[in-house]
Amino acid sequence: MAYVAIADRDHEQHLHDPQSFVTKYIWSQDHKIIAIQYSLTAISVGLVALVLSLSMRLQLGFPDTFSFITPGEYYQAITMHGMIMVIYLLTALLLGGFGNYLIPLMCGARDMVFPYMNMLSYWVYLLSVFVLLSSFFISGGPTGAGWTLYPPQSVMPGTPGVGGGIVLMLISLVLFIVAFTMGGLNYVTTVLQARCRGMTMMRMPLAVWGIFTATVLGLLAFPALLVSGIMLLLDALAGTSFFAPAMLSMGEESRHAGGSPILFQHLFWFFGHPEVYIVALPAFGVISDLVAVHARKNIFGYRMMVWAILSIGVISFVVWAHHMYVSGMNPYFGFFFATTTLIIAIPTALKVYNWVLTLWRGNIHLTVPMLFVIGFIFTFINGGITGLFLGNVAVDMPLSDSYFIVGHFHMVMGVSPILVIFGSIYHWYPKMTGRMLDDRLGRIHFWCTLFGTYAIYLPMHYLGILGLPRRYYALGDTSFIPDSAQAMNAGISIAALFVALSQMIFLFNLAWSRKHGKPAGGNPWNATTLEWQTPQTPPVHGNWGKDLPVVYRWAYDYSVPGAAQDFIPQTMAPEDVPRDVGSTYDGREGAHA
Amino acid sequence: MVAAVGILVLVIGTLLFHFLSPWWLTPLAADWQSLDDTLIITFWITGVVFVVLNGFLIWVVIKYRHRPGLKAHYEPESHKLEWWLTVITTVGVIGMLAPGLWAWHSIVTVPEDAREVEVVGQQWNWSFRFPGEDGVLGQVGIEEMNPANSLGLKADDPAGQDDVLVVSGELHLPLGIPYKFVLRSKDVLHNFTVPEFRVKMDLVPGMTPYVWAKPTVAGRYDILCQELCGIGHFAMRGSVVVEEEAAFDRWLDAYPTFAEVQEMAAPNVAMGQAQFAVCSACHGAQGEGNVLLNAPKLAGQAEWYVQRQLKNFKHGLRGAEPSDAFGMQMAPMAATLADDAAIANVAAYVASLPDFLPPATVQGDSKRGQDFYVTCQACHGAAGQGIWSMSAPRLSRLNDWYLVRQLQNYKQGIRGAHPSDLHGKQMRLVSGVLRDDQSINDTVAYINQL
Amino acid sequence: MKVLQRLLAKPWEHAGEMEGIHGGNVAGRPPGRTGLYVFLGVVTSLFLLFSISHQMRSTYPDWTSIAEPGILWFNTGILLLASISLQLASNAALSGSPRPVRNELLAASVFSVLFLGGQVYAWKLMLDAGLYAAGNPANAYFYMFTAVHAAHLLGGLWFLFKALGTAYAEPHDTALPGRIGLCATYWHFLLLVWALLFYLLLSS
Repeated sequence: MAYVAIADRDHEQHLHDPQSFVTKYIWSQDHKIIAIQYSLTAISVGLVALVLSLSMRLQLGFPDTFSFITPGEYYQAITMHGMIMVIYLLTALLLGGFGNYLIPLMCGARDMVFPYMNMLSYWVYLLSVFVLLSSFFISGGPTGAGWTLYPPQSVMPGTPGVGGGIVLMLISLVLFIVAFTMGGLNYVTTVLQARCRGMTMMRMPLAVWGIFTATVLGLLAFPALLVSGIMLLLDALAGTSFFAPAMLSMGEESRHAGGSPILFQHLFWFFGHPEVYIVALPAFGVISDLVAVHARKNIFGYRMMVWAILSIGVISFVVWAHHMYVSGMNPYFGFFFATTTLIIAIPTALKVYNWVLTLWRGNIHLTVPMLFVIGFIFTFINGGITGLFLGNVAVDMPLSDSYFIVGHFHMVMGVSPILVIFGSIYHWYPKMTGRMLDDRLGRIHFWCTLFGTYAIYLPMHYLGILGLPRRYYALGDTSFIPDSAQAMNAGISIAALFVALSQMIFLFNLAWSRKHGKPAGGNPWNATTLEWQTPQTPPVHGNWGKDLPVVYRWAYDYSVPGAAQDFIPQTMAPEDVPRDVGSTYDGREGAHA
Repeated sequence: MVAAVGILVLVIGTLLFHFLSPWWLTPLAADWQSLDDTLIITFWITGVVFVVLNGFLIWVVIKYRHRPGLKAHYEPESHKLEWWLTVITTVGVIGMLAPGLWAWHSIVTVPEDAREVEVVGQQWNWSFRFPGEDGVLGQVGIEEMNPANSLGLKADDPAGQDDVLVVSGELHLPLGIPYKFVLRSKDVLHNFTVPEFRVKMDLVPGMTPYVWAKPTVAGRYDILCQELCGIGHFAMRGSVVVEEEAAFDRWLDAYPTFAEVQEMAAPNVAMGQAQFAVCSACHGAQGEGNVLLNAPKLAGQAEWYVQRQLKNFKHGLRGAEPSDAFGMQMAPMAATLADDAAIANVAAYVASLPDFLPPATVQGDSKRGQDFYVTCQACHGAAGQGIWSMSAPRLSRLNDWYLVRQLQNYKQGIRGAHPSDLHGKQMRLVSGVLRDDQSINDTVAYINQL
Repeated sequence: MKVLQRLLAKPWEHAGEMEGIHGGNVAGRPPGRTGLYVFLGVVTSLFLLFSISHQMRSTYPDWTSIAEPGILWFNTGILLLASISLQLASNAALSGSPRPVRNELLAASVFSVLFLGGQVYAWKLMLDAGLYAAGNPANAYFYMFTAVHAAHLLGGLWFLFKALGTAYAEPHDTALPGRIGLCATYWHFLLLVWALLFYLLLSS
C-alpha cells in the first residue's frame, strides 16, 4: 500500500504544479516523454547507420565507379553501421523506447518506480551516442575493427581508428551500459513491484513479458561486454596483455605478450548472443499483442508463449560459442553448442506456430499493423530457418564469414525487428499523439520495405553459398566468383537505395500525421490492454487520473462467446460486460473453460 | 487479400530464385561430401517448413480475413496441438543435427595418415612450411623474425632444420593425400579458407588451431582470408594448386630447407658489382635511373625487394605480358643472372649504392593524394619507407614517373596478371582505390613529399 | 515452487476473481530494495565474469604469481568493520535511537574511506616494487580488480554520505531506516565481492 500512497502524492503534485516546457519535455521524468526521447534519438542515429550502409553498398555494387570510399573508410563504415544498428538503435529503441512507454501503461503504473534514474538513463545514453559519433571527427576516424572489435587487430596498427577511434568506441559502450543498467533496473523493478491491483504476472500482455525478460537478459549479459571492454581498453592504453599475444607489428615485435584473443571472443559473445534475444524477445512480445488485437482473437497458447520466452532467455546463455565455430577454440565445443543452438530453435518455432495459429480461425483485419505482423512472420520464418544452417556446426563451416551469414542476421535481426518496430509505431502512434498515421502511406511503406529488403537479403544467401566472403572492400579476380555475382551485387545495391528512399515515406507520415492525421480517440483498435483505457489520449503525466486502474482479466479477451462486443478491456468487471441477447455468459470465463 | 497475394509472390519468388539461381556451392575439391550432404538435408527440411508454414499463413489470411459478420473463434490453447508441433519440430531438428554432428566428428578427427603443413598468415600475405623428413615442425618465435628468417624459426631447434620454407602465397598439395593444416598467425586474427575445400578455420596469434582436408580434384584454387584483419583484409589472397604427387614433389624440392637458408653464404657484393655492369647500361652506374631509357632508379631500394623482382622477371611472373613493353625489356636482362646466388649478389650491391633524392617530375594535388595514401601506408609505412614484414617495398625517393607507370600497369592488369604473382595481384586489388590518372598523380605527388 | 504454480495458471479462467490477486507491491518490499537486489545481480554477473576471465587467463604460461602486499589483509579487516558498523546502524535505526545510528554511520564512513586509503597504499607498494600493470597479467588483474571494486565502493559511499547527512539533519525522517538498511546490504555485498577477489588474487 505504501506504493499507492507515493503514487497519489505524485499525482497531487502534478495537478498543482503546472510544468514549464523544459521540465515537461527536456528534463522530463515522465516515462512517456523519456520513451519518445529515446526513440527519436535512436531513430536519428539509426539514420546515420543507414547512410553508412548505403556508402558500403555503393562501393560493393559499383566498385569501379565511386571513389569516395577507401578500404579504411569502408571498414569504418561496416563497424559503425553494425554497432549503431545493434546497440544504439535496436537495443535502445526496443527497451529504452518501447520498454519505457509500454511497461508502466500496460502494467497500470503511474510511472517507472525510479523516475529520476530513468531520466538519467536517457541522458547518459545520449552522451554515449555523442561520444560514439564524435569519433567521426577525430584524426584517424572511428574504429574499423568490425562491430565485434576482435583484438588484437582492434588495438593494433593496420586497422583504421586504432588511436582514438577504438578508445571512443569503448568509452561510449561503457556509457551505454551504464545507461542501460539504470533503465533496466527501472523496467524490471516496475514490472515486479508496480503492477496495479489484479494484474498478476500471467495476466500481463506478452509485450511486457518480452521486454521484461529481455531486460533481465540485458542486465546479466551487458556486464560481459563491460568486462571485455574494460580489459580491451587497458590493452589499448595501459599496455596490458589480457587479450593481446606476442605479435609482429609493422615489422617489429609488439609490446604485448601472452594474451588470449579467444578469451575476448568468449566474453564478447557471452554478451553478444543474449544480445540477439535482447532485441528479439521484445519484438516477439510486441508482435504477439499486435496479432491478437488485429485478428480479434486471443493469442493462441499464451502459457506456451510465456514459457517459450523464459526458456529462450535461459538457453540463450549457453549457445554463445556458435559464433565461434571457426574461431580456433577447442573444436570439441562444437558438439555442445550445436546441440544447444538447435534446441533453442524449438521454443522459437513454437512461437511462430502460435502466431500463425492465432490468425487461424480469427477475424483478420488487414490494417497496417497487421500487414507488418504478416511481413514479420514471413521474414522471421526465413531468418529462423537459415539460422538452422548456421547453428549446425558442420553446415556452418562452409558458410561462416560468407554473405550467407550477412543475409541471415540482417533477415532475423535487422528486417524482422524493424518490421515489428514499424508495425508497433503504426499501432501505438494514435495513443502517443491522439492521431492516426495515414493508412495509404503506411501500406505503400510496408510493401516497399518488405519487397525491397527481401530483394536485398535473399540473394545474399546464395552468394554466400557460392563462397562470397563478407567484409571485403572489393572482390577483384577470383577463380570461383562469376561476373553474374557482381551483377547481383549491383542489383542488391539498387534495392538498398530503394528501401532507404522508401523510409522517407514513413518519416513524412510521422511528421505529417502529427498535425493532420485522423483523430484517433482513446481506443481506435478496440484493444483490451490497459494503455488503451487511459482517461486521456495521449495519456498525461501520472497516466491514470485520480484512481489507479483495477484489472479483472487477462490481456486477451477477444471475441469471447456470449459477450456483445468482440473485446473486453482488462479493466472491465465481469458484471459490467455487455452480453449478447439470450446469452448465459456471466463475463467470468471463456467458453473453453 | 493483397497481403496474401504479396506473401504468395514472395514464396514463389523464393522458390524460383532457389532453383534458377546460378550461384551455388563451388565444385567440391576435397573429401567433404558429408558437409555438402548435411547442407542439402538442411535445405530440404527447412524448405518444406518454409513452404508449409507460409502456405498455411497465406491460406489463413485469405480464409479468415475480416468480412462483416465474421467472428473469431475462441480458443485460448490446445495442448494436444502444441505437443504435436513440438514433437514434429524436434524430429526435424534431430534430422538436421544428427548428420551435422556426424560430419563434425570427422572434421575434428584428423586421420592417422594425414601429413602436416603449416599455414602462416600475416597482414596481408600467406606463407607455408612443410615439416621436412622428420615430419615435425620446428619451434618458432616472434622474436626470431627478420627479413632473412621471416617465418621465425628457432635456429637451435633440431626439428626445424629440415623444415621446408615456402615464403610465397602459393601452396601446392598432392592429390588424394589428407593434409592437416596447422594454422599460425604472426600478428592478428586471420582465417584460412579455400571455398572448394569447404573447411575453414581462424589463425589465432599465440595458438595453432588446425583443420584437415583431402584434396580430390586437381586444379588451382583461391585461398581467402575470412576474418577481418585490417585495411588489407580483402587483398589477402593466396592460391593452392592441387596436382599429382610427382609434380608436387618437384615443386617442393625447389624450396630450401631452413638449414639451407642458414647455410647460404652471405651475398658477395663485389661479385654483385661485376654483374651490375649489365644493369648499369640502363639504370646508371650508381643505379640512379634514366628516364629516357625508362629505367628507374634502383639505389635506396631494399635488398629483399630487388631480389624478389629479379626472380619474378627471370621466372616470367613479371615482364611476360606483351603490353608491358618495358617489363619485356627487363625480363631477358634478369635471365642473364645464372642462379639465386647471382641474384642475391646483385641485390646486395644495389642495396649498397648511395641513396639520393631524385627530381620530382609529376604534378598533382598532394593534399588529395594524402587521403589516398592512408590506404598505401598500411603496408608501405607512413613515410613510404617500406616494411619488410608486409612484403611492401619502399616508395619514397623513387622516380615518380616510375611509380605512376607501375600504378597504371597494376590498374590495367599489365602487372600482377600472372597467377603466381600474388603480391602483384594484391596491388591490383588495392590500386582500385585510385580510380583515375588524376588520383594516381595526386598520390605520387604526395609520396614525393615523404 | 510458488513461481512454477503461477506460471502454470490459466489466466483466461476466473476473470474477475480478485481474492489474493494484487498488484506487484503485495510483498510489502519497498521498490528501492528490489531495485538494489536487481542491481546487485548485475554486479554479481560483472564480477563473476571478471573472475572467470581471471581463471582462464591465469592458466597461460606467461602468468607470474606475485606476492600481494600484506596490507590487503588489514584492509579486509577494515572493510569487515565497516560492514559490521552498518549492520549495527541499521539495527539501531529500526529500533529508533538516533544517537547510535549517527555514531555507527560515522564509523562505517570512516572505515570505508580508510579502506580506500589502504587500497591506494597497496597500489603504491606494488608500484614501488616495480610491479607495473603492463609487466604481467597477474599485476594487471591486481590493479583492475582493486580499481573496479573501489569504483563499486565509491558508488555506495555517495548514498552512505547522504544517509549520514540525513541522520544528522533530520534524524526522524521515516525513510532513513530503509536507506540505512539498503546501505548495510550493499556493504555486506561489497565485503563478499572483496573476499572473492582477494581470494582469487592470493590463489594465483
